[in-house]
Amino acid sequence: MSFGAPYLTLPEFTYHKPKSLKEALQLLNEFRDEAKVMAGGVGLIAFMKERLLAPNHVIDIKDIPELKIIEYRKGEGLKIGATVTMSEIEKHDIVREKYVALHQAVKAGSDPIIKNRATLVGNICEAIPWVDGPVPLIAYNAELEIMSVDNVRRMPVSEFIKGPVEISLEPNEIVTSVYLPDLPPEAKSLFMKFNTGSEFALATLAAYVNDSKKPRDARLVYGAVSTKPVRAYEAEKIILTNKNISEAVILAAEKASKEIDVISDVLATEDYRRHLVKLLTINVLSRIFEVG
Amino acid sequence: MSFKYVGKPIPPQDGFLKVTGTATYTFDLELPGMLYAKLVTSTVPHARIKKIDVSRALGVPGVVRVVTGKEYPYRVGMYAGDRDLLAIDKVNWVGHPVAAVIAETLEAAEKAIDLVDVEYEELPAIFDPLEALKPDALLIHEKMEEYRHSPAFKPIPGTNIANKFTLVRGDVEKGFRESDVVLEEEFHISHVSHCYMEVQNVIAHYHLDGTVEIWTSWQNVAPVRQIMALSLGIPHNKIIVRIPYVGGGFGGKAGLGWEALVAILSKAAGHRPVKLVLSRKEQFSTAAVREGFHAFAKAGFKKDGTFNAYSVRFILDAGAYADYTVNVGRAVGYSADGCYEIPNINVESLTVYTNKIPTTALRGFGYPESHWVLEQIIDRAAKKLGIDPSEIRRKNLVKPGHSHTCTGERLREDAGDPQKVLKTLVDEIGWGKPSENPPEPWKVRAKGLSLFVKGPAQPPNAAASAILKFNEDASIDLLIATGNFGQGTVTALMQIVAEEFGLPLEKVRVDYVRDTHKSAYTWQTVGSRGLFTDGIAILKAIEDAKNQIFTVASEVLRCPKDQLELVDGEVRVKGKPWEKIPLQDIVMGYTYPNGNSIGGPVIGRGVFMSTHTTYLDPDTGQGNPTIFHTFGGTAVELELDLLTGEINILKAVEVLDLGKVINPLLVKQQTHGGLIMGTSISLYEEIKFDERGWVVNPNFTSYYLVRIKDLPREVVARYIETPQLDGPYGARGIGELTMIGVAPAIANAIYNSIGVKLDRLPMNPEYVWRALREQRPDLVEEAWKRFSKYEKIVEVTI
Ligand SMILES: Cc1cc2nc3c(=O)[nH]c(=O)nc-3n(C[C@H](O)[C@H](O)[C@H](O)COP(=O)(O)OP(=O)(O)OC[C@H]3O[C@@H](n4cnc5c(N)ncnc54)[C@H](O)[C@@H]3O)c2cc1C
Repeated sequence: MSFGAPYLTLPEFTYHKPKSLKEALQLLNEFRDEAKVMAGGVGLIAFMKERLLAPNHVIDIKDIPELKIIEYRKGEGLKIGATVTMSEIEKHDIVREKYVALHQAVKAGSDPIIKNRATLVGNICEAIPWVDGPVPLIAYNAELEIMSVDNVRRMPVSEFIKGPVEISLEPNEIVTSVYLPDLPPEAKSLFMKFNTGSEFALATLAAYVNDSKKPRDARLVYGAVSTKPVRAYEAEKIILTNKNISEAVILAAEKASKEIDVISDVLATEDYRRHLVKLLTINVLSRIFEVG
Repeated sequence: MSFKYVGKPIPPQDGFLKVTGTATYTFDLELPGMLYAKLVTSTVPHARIKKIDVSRALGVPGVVRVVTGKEYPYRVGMYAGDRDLLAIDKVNWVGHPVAAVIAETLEAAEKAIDLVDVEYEELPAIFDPLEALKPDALLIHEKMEEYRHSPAFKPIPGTNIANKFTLVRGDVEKGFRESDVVLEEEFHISHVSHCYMEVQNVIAHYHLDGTVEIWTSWQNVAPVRQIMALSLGIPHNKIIVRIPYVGGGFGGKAGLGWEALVAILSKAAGHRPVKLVLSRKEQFSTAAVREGFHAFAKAGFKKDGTFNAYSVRFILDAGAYADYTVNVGRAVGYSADGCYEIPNINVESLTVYTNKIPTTALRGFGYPESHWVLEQIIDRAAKKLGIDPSEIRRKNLVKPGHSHTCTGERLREDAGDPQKVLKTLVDEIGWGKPSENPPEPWKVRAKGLSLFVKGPAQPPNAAASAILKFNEDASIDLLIATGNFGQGTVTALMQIVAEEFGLPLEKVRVDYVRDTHKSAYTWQTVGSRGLFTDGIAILKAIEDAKNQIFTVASEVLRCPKDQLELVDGEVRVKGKPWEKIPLQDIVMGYTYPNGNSIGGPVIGRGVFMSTHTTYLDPDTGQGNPTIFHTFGGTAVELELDLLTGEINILKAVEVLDLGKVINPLLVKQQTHGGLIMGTSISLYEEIKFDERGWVVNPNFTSYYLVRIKDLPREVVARYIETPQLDGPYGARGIGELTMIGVAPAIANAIYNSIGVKLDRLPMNPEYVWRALREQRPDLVEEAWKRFSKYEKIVEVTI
């Protein structure tokens, strides 16, 4: 068992910077387990320095034009390419106006220097239990587009993240974009993060609620409390069925804090995290319903 | 009296190079032919080393040598003398260096450390100093009696006690019997890291002729040389220690470093220069950090608030090696009375070995620890007695010129004005005026006070000196060894020189490299003493130089020396300013028109030596340990979230009696810096260990540090100037002081307002949340009701 690593250098590797997606996929197909994709490198380089990863080939995808796209289409939704940075997302008007939970999650994260490099897709692929990016994406039912030399597939973010640093990705695959469905105008979403003395949170919540039309919809996704983001299905039901909103908020908070899987670790105990879940739920839902 | 430089807000002289990224640190240096070292560290907390197999490591291309402890079984240290270079036959903590790989590149060295195979025979490990004190506890240092320790300390061989400090004054038992209120309280603090930006790193070159050159990121050159000379047996003048700019120290780069080890590695690697750079992870698990401690205190007060008796036992968790921590243990002990007069006092301070990371000083050198205990005791007593916390302080404050400290030292008449400190503090925080209600009704606002006093924790004979050399153009090279790790002392010292000679500041230069060969000796820059001790030495050097200048000028101008003055770079006859000689015509000797010359290059020398300080009596702790006392206080107004346990400081007030503010800008920076560091250590910082002794948070994502949004929203700094007559311009030290009061002021604010006792550091949200639930469930319940019914949820800040 080890915590952190004493190294200052990186393990040796060959650096590739393909100019097209095709070229990147071919390289990846050739080297497979020996290779790692690099977007911003914020996570990858740190992992390599800690010797958690030691790929012989690093495939930098920043020069691939089609991955740099962030684009909203009415009726279809928002597409964020694999090399779009956190800064670009934070500044994007549609994100700020429509995908409020995502905007807040990106805004609450790290600092401008990191955000100028770090990508949202990289953040998802890291699948560190504490990261913020996946939480709002799961609340929006976002999906990833994943490509290999001979295949394209789509997968919800919620299924893609399997556990701590564990994702559903074949060695020859690249995540090319994340797709957020278009939202009805009445939909509300918010994100909130409880962190102290570090960027990494003790608990986060992304809530998505559309209770104006049928089908009514509510998703509560909690991050940093368990080994991966978790949904509180029972609490969501309370929101959708209980007519007395102020009561529903409290009951949902109580329910969520009990029903979800929560862990104790170096940062906080399970007790405290369950308590934070309750507070976050009340805070976020009260705001959502008051605004709405 | 008005000054041109002294008292002026002159920016730090090293600021420009630092912010432009062009200042040279040891980290930046590379020497021709240099090799890289990397440490192989222990993976178990306590074990005998059965076998070390280096053959696989030697097979890595580029590896030059692998050195193990048995080959160089030196004992090194400054105070306790307990440290090995590399583990000799036993490892004492997870992170203990057992071998060092030396290679042509850092890459090769880092590859090879994983290929050194060490076989251990594990021993039971001790992680709690209270366990280590039990009579049947296993000994971590079996050969303690062989260690060469300083006479100021009392190690107890056959136990795990690295130093036992005892202080007895008055009759504490009688004092308790005669008290109306007696309290017993316990306090604890956790280990913390210094978190300076530049990690520890050293280059050593052990030349073939036996000369050793060192470049190191350390606070002071002299102790590095002293430790190397004593432990390796190299003559002092064959060791040249150089320190360029240093990226922070905070006490973590005083005491014992890696220089002796790296020198040996250089020798072992065929006399080529070797560089060792620690990683941040190693800063958290292999370099020394600040100790944790338990304190058990009993205090007796009379009805009217008189502090009558105090008995306290400090148990320091010093970790596996305590070379410098023994002095922290001593300082915790003799500072136990803070700034109060306590007629009956007993202190026992034990510095205890455990199988954890070694420890050392951190900004404040034991004083933050003793004040964390004492200043909370004061507030708890005040509540019991129904006396206001400011009033009970006013009543018990020492009186300079009359009072004695707990070591029996009579406070000098000019030691400062603690009453004025208290009054200013109370006025600035608006003591007694209730805080406004917080916008969210599940939060409370509260105010708390803490006073403090500190002097340098140093040996009685800790000297300083200065050499001042004139150049042809009457510019000055000031050769001092004053540590330059970001405090600003050197700028203040330059201001003094410019002032005294009436020269522009630009004419005074202090090189950025400290060098045992070229800089004048100073014992150490620690304990906030630099400006005071080195300032006095510089003033003497100035006097010496002036005397040389006036001697020549007096002859040339045919005027008695005492009729001469130095103004704007000229020697003038008082009252006849037209009779003058420019300085540059004197400082290399004066030449008459015919070529005859008198005088010569001017070199001033001066020393500081404390003549009244003493060792402390080993049984009673009585004596004179310090050269000055700086009094101060911190007050905070904070907001506590009763639901999350989060504490936010809305306003912090800091008052210090500095004697004389030489540079108001630098003093303000020190104050803000201390408050930030104090806030961080009070609320966030803690090295955490698992049950096997591993540090589980050796990085800045899980070792919490203050972030910009957590800083005090408003800072008020006030300085009082009660001159200390023998200080430079009346000044006393400030550096460490500014953080001592933060933690107790925070805890006191919470205790005063809602009666919740916070006994341990850090007061992080989860700990505070638990304390609130245990001690005031009613309040938490009420807050919860308000929160969950609260109609208007305000904009949440994220
Ligand atoms: C100081 C600091 C503060 C931080 N604060 C926060 C914070 O507050 N909140 C937060 O959520 N995160 C935070 N992070 C984490 C940071 O946001 C992530 O590391 C970053 O988003 C990763 O993105 P990247 O583009 O740099 O990924 P990379 O480092 O390039 O890649 C990360 C991993 O994902 C894989 N990968 C990347 N892109 C693809 C792809 N397209 N297809 C397949 N695999 C891919 C890589 O192979 C690698 O394993 C912080 C990091 C630092 C250093």
